[in-house]
Amino acid sequence: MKNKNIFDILENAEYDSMERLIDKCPLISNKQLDKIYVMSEKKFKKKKKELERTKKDNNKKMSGNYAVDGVERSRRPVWFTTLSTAASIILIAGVAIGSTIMIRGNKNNITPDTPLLPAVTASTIKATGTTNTVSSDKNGTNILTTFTTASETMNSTAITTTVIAVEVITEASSDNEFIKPFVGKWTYQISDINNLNIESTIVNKGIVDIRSDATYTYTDGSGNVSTGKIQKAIEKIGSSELLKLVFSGDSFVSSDSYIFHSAYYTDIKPDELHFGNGYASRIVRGELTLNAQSNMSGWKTAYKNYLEAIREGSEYTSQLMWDLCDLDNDGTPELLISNGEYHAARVNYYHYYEPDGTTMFGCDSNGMIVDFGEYGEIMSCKEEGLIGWSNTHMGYNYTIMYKFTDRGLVKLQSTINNLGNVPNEEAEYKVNDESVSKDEHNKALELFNSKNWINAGRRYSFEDLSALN
Amino acid sequence: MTSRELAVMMKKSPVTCHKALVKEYGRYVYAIVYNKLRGCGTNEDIEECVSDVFADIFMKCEFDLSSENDIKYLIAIIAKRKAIDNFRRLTAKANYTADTDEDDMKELVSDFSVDEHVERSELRRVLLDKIDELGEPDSTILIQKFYYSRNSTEIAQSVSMTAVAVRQRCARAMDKLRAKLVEIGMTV
Repeated sequence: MKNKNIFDILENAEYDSMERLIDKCPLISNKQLDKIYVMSEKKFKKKKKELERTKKDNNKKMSGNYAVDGVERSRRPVWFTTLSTAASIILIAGVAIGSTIMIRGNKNNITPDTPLLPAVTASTIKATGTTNTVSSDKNGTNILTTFTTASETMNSTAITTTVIAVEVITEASSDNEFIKPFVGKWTYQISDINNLNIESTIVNKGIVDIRSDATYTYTDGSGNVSTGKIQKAIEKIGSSELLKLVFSGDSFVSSDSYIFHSAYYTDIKPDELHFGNGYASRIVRGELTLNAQSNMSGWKTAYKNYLEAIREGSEYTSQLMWDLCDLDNDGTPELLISNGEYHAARVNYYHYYEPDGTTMFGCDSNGMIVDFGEYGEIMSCKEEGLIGWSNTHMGYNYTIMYKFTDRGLVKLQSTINNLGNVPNEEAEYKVNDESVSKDEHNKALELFNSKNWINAGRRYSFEDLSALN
Repeated sequence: MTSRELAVMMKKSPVTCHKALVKEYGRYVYAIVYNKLRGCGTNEDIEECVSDVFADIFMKCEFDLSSENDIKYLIAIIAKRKAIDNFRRLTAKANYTADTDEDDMKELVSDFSVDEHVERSELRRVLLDKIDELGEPDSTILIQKFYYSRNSTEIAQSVSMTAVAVRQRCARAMDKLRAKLVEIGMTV
């Protein structure tokens, strides 16, 4: 289907064209207007505050004699000097003692006979560390991601400097407060078309049990259990901060094709944590019934979505019709879309591609997209996996027959004669585009006619998708 | 609505004034912003930009309401400029700086083509004329479906028809439009 939108030309319209487009602008719902109003009001208040602050700053003037005017005079408290002196002494003493201990420690360890040990062996340290990562998204916006490791047991031996070891130990603490609001059972859901807003596409894949020690257990529909840890992370985008939980381990987050490990939290939907861009997968609070989507419902959903997409597209005409027919006799029907009822109207066939849950074009053995039939219909002999059609047109009688194979569709045979144009004795007969005798032609024709053909292609209109419910 | 009228409303209640502005000009601003950001922004980007426009308008109301003119044109200008700013922000690629000398500078020409601009403007006018020739509600259905990317159900609500009827009319109207465009030599 061609999807070129001629209406794209209307972008960047001048004033007169713009006026015409404004007249036809759809009405904006009150809900949407309220949302815009709230956002505007918030931004307005921020701007106003900034403006007032700037005005206030501008009121501070410098006189001609370089005397500062309007500056507040401040006095340090008396105790401040004593306190800062004492703090300085403690700090200097700490640095000196610490350095001495470290130098002595190194002297004892480094001997010609003893191997060099790592400065830090963090195998038993439970530490909280903070890592800042600055990355760039597709719009060029810088994203600052802050990872806070909660109760992380470091099993590996890290060879690093003593200074870093001191830092880690200093920050070591166990803080699982962030997980408290999320403790409990959640259901992991995915949408087979990456759109969780369409409920019919949601599949409940498994149960996630989040515990107060920031660990989780995932049990899938088949009873397989996996565990992992959860970290808290804050993602800063512009002025807003997003809280997200990072699920570690090779569990539900990586068992599907959705490899996002971070589940985002928003105040608007406190009982949902969305992975990735928010429409492909999520966990929802509570233990829902698992429903691994069967192949049966999978193709129905995929075909239905595909037909709806065509129906909403610019190429849709009321002449289009569709049908279901198990052309290859594999138990899953193929989707047929018929272009019309006129002579040259063809039928495109599509099949359900299970790994992706999508609708795929039917191809021949060369990988080319194929269309079949005449007058918008084809003939199917599903017992033998055959597609064909026959017709008489402008004095020619012809038949064509294809077979489904592992490599795609392969042409089996075609017959043609011109008995409608010339007397019988002058007629030409062809099988597979080669001239043959009448008997050979009739034999091939009998083979075609012996099949148990049924017509398919134009059973349903695009307004009636009930067969896919 | 004039600036003076707004000033009177602002004196009574700024909040009511702001709400009235959003209600009165929300669709107008949305259409202008949509026209600029349609190709590069999401619905959220468009809403964000619309709210930026209104924040600027509120600022204007707060500090400068001296004009007697209809504020519609002021709003249009603010909306257009804000949308262009947002367009640049959304389409900005990574900053790239390159050294060049005067000889190379001669070879750097603007990618703005006057011919192309005029031609595009004319095509836009012709397309809108042909759409208008289809009459109502077909013209509204086509614009809302293919320009504003509304689905049949949403359009059905605004033209008081059923979604099925909208789809049928849309398909027929599109066929008619294609025929009209082919008549004048526009390939679709």
